[in-house]
Amino acid sequence: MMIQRSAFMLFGICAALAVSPAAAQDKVTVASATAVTAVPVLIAAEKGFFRQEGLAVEVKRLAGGNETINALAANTVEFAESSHAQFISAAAKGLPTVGISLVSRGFFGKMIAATRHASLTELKDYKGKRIGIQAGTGVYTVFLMTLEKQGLDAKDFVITNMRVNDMPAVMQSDQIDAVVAWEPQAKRIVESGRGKEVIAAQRFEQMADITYPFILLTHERILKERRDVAQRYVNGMARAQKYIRDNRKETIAFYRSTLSPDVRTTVPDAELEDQIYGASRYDRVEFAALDLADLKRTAEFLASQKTIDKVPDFDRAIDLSVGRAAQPLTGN
Amino acid sequence: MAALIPALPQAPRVAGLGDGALRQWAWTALPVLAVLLIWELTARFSGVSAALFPSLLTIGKALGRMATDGALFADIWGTLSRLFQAVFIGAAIGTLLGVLMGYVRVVEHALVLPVNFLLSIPGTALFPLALIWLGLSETAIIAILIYEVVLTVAVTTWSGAKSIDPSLIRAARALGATGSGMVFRALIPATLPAIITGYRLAFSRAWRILIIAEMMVSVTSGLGYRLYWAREFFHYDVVYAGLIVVGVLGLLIERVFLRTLERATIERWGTMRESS
Repeated sequence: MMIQRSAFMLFGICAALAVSPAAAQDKVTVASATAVTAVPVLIAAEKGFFRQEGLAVEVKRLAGGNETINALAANTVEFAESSHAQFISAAAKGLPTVGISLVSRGFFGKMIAATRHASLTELKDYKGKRIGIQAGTGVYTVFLMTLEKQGLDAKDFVITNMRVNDMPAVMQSDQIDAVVAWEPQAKRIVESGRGKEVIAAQRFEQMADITYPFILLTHERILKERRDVAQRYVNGMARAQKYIRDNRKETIAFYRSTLSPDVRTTVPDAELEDQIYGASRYDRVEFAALDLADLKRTAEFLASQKTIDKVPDFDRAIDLSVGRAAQPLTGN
Repeated sequence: MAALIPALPQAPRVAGLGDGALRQWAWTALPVLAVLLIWELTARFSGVSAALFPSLLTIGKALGRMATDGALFADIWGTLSRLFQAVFIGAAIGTLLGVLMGYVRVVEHALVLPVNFLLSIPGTALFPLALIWLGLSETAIIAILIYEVVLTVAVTTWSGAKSIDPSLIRAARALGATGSGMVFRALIPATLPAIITGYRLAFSRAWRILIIAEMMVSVTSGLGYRLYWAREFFHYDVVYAGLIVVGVLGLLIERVFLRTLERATIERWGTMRESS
């Protein structure tokens, strides 16, 4: 009887020990865009990098950076990912959000021209032509910055606001001369035979002189009350970056599994590799001086365009210490 | 006894500002004032970021800025011109269709199924197709609005025509009305309440769809576009100011334009009177 009771007690202790790590995990939610930019957070969740840090992370996929920041500001998620332009707009408006690390770097917008314009490979060639772009996005901001650097003006073109999801359908109508899109829509247009890539993402990056940091934000409240959670979250993201760099095949296979069934079964590996690695770099969670300079330059540009009221106070809007502490975990 | 009590001098009464009118005005204004008060208190004391939930003053300033730089009027013009183009074309087609369905049995049999089928497909669901067929242009938006207006007006006109009291038609016949005389002097006036109801419904549906369309489809001016743009850059003061303009304009269209139309048609012929 005594032995039986001891056995039960021992079993109870073992069971408690077995479940305690899971029970001790902090639950957090992150809002991420439904785009290839979500690869690091999806990898971190799938490969257990958050679990290693004692976090149970739920990833909510939203339409874009604007919605992710809104969700964060409204206190419905603990973390959000967004482009630099939307991060700057939120900071300029004084939203209670803080940038704590990079998710990835690298511009991913590319110009796809209607096949009849396939030979026009310079922006100036499109003067007077109708160009579709999703207003308000980071890609839109970079496009405008590129125009300025090239001595051009938005008024030189007929710029048409359209959602990137609508671009493949719009290109079917043949009523638009070019779009500035990103993946996977850009590839879909090219594959349909309706368009050709005429300006690559890297060329935009060079022309606009940007690093295009994709930013992880958290709520001010999290930094004040649960700073350790923010640090552990970024640690997980740093490990994910290393994994993505070191395990291309596995990353591509995993990303494929996250796509809708019709795309999952048809899209070749090379295309997925191009989507994940073609434009984005996964080498830093820490803000580098170049990234900070890029943010400042972009903010000044947005202010000059009267898109934002003022250049935000980046000392308040960015906390450099979290990314810096996690940077060694990227292996870079 | 009563005759011995001197009558109290009556306060002079100004037309429309009597106790009843004042009370009615107060009942209309009270909920609005209550909402404004709750809004201001929430903005000031709820702890929600002022950027997300701006005070009335901030919203007012945004509205003032939009008016000063001319964007507000360009947006209103853009939206209203799309609305009126679509509603005029759609209402003309819809009325004709509804009258034909109501009075010509063959047309009714031929169209009742397709019209009801199309009615169950919201115009917004056709946007992806409109983009392919008509491109990303004003035409796509106006075509979708016309689609909505035609169906709404056709169905209400048709059901109005079907519900005319047969004794009215018999009476018109007895009085010698035939052919176009019957149509224009008896049938159309009798159907008019339904037709005008259809216009009101169509305006309201078109207004809502138009704002969404301007947010979704490529335009560079319009109230919907302004809302979209302001939301993308977290200018929530502009978003709220824009929503107020959308609401006020919708109300003005309903209470001023459509009410005048109603007065000029239905009430003039004594078929209906709205209490307000």
